[in-house]
Amino acid sequence: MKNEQDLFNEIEDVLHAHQDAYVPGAWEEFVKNKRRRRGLVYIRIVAAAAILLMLGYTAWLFVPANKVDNTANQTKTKIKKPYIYSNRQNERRDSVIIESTVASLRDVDNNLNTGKAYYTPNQSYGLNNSTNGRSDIQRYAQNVPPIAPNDIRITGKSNNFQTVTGEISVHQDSLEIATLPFVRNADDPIVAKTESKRYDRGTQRLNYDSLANLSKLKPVVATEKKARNLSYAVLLSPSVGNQKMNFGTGVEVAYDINKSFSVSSGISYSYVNAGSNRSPLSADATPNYSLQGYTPLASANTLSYSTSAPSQNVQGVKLALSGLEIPLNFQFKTAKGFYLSAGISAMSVIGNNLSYNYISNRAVSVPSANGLTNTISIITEQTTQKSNENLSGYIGFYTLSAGKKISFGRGKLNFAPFIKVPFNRVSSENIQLIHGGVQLGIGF
Amino acid sequence: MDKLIEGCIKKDFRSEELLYKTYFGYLSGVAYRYTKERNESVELINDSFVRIFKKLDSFAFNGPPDEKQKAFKGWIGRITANVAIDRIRAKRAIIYLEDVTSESKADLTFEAPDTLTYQDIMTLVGRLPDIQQLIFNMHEIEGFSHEEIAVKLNIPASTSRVYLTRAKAKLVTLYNTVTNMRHEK
Repeated sequence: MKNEQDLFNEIEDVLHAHQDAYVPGAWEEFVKNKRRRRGLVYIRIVAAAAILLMLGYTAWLFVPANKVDNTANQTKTKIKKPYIYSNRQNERRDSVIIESTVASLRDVDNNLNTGKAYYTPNQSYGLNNSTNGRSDIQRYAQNVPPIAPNDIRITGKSNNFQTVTGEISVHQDSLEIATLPFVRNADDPIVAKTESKRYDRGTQRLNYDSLANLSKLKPVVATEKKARNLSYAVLLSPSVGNQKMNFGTGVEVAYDINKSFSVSSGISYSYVNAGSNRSPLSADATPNYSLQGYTPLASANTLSYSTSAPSQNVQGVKLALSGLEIPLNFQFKTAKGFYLSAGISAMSVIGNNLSYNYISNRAVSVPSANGLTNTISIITEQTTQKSNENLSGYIGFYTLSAGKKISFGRGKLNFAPFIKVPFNRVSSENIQLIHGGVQLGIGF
Repeated sequence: MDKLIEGCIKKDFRSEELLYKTYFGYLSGVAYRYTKERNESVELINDSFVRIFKKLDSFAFNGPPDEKQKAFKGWIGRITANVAIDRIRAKRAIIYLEDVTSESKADLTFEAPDTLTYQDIMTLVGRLPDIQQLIFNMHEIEGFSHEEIAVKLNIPASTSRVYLTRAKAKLVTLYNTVTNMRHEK
């Protein structure tokens, strides 16, 4: 016979010293599970990266629409700056010089047509050289000869960082009647004024203008093309898993990569139900309803009863999840509006409810009135208890669907049966969230 | 021992395998005390090893070297117990009932006359109500304090003390009963 402390010390020592036999294959199984978990982590990282990439790309697609205006503004601003005379900007410099000169010659042209003026050959005129508050070219405009020219040619000659020189050739019937050299300062503000007027010239535009505008027109065309590749849709997707109906609703943005492929993403709210049932109790697991330890409280005059502790057996597990889902799908379009789609989606769980259904059995002993015999009743109750398990905040799905887009009016109606398979099972109960349904959408 | 732990911290595959195979049997015993199902205990062991490998760099022991292995076993045992309790709590609410089981004491026998074997102890402890078993294992074997048990099981520390006292009293009663029966025979 041991004393109390010795007994517990012995229990502790024996349990600490005890080792079960190694189960062959346990390490291999452990490594396999570890790799699977690591794979899931990689999949989640890739999915997150794909979503970010998609969001970034979608954001980029919207930028060019504003970029057109910005480009125009930037052009104006840049022209005002002296860098147009740097060695790197030769081509652009010529255009600017010529345009500015043409614009500044409008007054000249008007005066030539009215035949009021005359000119002085081999005289240099500076746009910015002023006398009595008027530039040389303006003064020239009042002094051109009384010959009506029908052609004016302007040629940019040379420049340095401070001044720009060039020639203005005045022609009549292919005969050069005057050559007007000009000199202007690099910072001549008349350039900005010229730029704003450039689009008002209409048929008077010179060949140089088209060259100057060539690079600026491109983004406008490209933007319009890209904008046409985007489509939007509102979606509703009822589905069925192994429990009640599920549903999802959201918006989708799709971008056509080419005629056959498109990529889509968006955001949706999803509500998913799932569950698992436990197998019925086996014969040897049937609980015993024993009343030992419970003394009937019957007395001669009163009836009372005693009850055993309830025996609970889990019958099933139910899980309800709601969350925001971000999909990333690739569509392959076949003929006549049919398409196949495959992708992944990440669901951020907003709410979850995991509950267990129990069958609770207890035996109740009711003494008879004479106190000699007892009536034993088995009471079976069904109860539900919420689990305290903390579920993962993110769930990934593989999505497969095949559908058809039907045009109606300016929009498109989308009808696509789909199936969603989770990356892995959920909770320690290994609940399978696989579900399938029909995606209905209205596209714009 | 130190090299083994260092290797595992450096994610050396061989070291991890050696550690796993060395302590699998011990953790199997710990896990079985909480799950009472062999299949479930293997899952529990694997979950525990994942956590052990992750937290291995936080294990520290400043006592005599010959005590280090014992301390390490205690440390991994506590991790396994924590994982087990998390799983129990996740799967079902712990039933805080102390109903006396109906099994007769007559079938309780010990294998050896003077010393308790592992099987004897498991049989003895198995006669306790679930909540008493849990608290006895946590406090007496794994070394959790009542405050820690209170937090883990979401019960007052005083309740934990009461359950432990009752568990010990019942174990002593059971042990004495069986011993007396054997002497009478």
